[in-house]
Amino acid sequence: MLYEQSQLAVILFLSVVAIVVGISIQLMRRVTTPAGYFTAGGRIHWGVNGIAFVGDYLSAASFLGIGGMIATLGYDGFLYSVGFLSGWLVALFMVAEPLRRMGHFTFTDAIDSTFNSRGLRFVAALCTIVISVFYLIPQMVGIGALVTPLFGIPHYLGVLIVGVVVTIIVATSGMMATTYVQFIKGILVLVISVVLTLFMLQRGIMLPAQMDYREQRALKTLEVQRTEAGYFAQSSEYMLPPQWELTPAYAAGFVPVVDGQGVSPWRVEERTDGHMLLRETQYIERRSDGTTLYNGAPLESGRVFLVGSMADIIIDGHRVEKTGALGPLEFLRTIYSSTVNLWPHTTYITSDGQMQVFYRSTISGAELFKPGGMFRLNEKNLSARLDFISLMLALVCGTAALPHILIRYYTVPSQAAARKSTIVAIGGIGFFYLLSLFLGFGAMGSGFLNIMDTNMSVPLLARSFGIVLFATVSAVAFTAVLGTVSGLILAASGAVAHDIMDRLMGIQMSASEKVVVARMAAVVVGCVAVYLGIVFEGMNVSYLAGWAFALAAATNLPALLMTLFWRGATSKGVVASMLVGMTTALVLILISPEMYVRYGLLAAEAPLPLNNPALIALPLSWLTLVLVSRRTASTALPTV
Amino acid sequence: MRADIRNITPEMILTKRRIGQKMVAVYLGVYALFVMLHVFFPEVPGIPIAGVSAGLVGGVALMLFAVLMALTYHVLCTRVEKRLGRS
Repeated sequence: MLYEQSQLAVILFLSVVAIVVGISIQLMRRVTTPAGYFTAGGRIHWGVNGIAFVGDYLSAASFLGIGGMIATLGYDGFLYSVGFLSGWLVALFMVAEPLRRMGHFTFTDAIDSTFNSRGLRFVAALCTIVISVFYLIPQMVGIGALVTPLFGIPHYLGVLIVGVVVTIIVATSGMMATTYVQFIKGILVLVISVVLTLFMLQRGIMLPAQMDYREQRALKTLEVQRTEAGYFAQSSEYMLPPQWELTPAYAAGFVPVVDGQGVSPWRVEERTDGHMLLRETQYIERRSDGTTLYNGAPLESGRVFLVGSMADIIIDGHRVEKTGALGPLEFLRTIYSSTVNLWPHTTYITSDGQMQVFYRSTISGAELFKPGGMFRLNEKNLSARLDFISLMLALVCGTAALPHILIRYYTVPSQAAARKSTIVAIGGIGFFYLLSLFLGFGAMGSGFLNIMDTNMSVPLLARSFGIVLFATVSAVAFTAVLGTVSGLILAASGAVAHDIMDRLMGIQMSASEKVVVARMAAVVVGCVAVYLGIVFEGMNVSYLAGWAFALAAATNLPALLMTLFWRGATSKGVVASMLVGMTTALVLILISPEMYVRYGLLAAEAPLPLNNPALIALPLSWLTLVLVSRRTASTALPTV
Repeated sequence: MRADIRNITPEMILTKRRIGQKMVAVYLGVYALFVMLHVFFPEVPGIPIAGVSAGLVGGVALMLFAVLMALTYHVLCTRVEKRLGRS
């Protein structure tokens, strides 16, 4: 088994559930009005709100995803951190205070306060729901990845359990409980990241032979020799199938090898006249009948093995077996001057579906510290450049447009408090991203890396220090998802109950009825979240979050900023901009190379090489707003 | 008038808005420079500096710059609020 189940992890997990559900039920009696439900009455202290921002923002995508990306891609994963944090500056300088002044409960309130338009109210509410649901996907996928190995339960059951817990939190006491869950989570994430970083620096870096904390599993190699009758493996356990040179595997750089367990692709490491050296790989086979096999068998069979190791450790020009304790800068310098075994992957189509093969590749630390793991900028390829710009644009513009982040500005008593809480958030989030740099590079050589599930890199790094730390980190990661999902469900349920049913449809409801409707909406959104978490199993959560950011940026940011700062904006212009932004971003995501792989096709077959839609969708949305506003008479009230 | 906006004057709002706009322009300018450096000079982030890469040093510096800008903004806004707020 990849992960052993631990009673401690189960106890911690259940404790977290008991605490958050207890808080929610305790606070339920205090929530009797819509203001209490949606904004906690606007009485949260800025310090608490700031840490709750940290908890809201450092979702599964950050806590699990960033570490996983750095562990498997190096520097390119770190670039996500830079983009994520930069987005907060846009929120602080442009959005925090005006939003606090103009809104009441939801993002729609703020954007519609200038126009008072039914159409705008509907579109803004719809966009809030779509963005929140989209951002829910990575969170639910992340929790499935986490709970599954901990409890030994299927992915869908893990997602279902979390869905139920989080729906209880939101449906009982709304923003009040959500704020305290996020506050607790923010503190826990920061503390556990510091602890894990200190443990890792104290242990230092070592070669696999020095890892007394794990069993070694050497990668198998196979020599193949050509004779007059064809190629033959030098070991009787293996053979090459007939016409292996005509297979898609061979075209992709692998040789299909038959052993007692079936056929698997082996990487061609060396090739000379009449001789090949092959090395075993790990692979995911997605068959056309819907089944997925991991190294030729279902995941439960346990054929997947952990990797992640240094190839060589060099300090001051000398090769060493282990370093001992290192300072933070020394740690990074040592990785930089050493070589690491990474596991890139290649995807090809077979007659029965799609094969994703992960193979070992040794690269220098210096290569790891520059772009190339994900963004092929060195190849001076236009589509790679545009894709990179698009992602960085989405990250910097997305934060200030995420509805679940924006509604947190209504929970504090004043504009100054909104500003101060954003600054606390920037400090906390920036500190976490610096730590994630160490966690990611530490996981890379820890011997506890599952390259088929990069989301587990940080919890597995903790596993290398023993089951207690693994259980603790897993429980914290669980609260990380709970906090963010609560905020997202709250934002979406606010859009349904407050924006659509109350303000748009004008359904007459008493204060307590509004709260009941909001609770029911939270339950529905919770069900949708569970469904999506099951469908998108297995994708890197940071990657998915990048899409949510692009969608939010293209849909909400031009509308929000132009409403706040351009007197020429009209309600029709804002509506058109939001619809164009959302539709364009969604279409571009659906036809992106990454989605083509999900469809079982090749990425190269996608009509556009862009994986992130922001570069097209955001300017288009902005342009639409300006053009339509200019063509329609201004209905805006003067704003100050 | 809502209690949370009672102390706010139009002049205060405009002054803080101008500060915010200037600071966001500065920060986004530096951020754009960082991104474009990767796009048009991808070898630059790989240049060794202080035993690691220039990209890593630049990324961490940009993060610290973000925190510094946030604190500066707060100080400036607090001054404006003291100077222009309704007492």
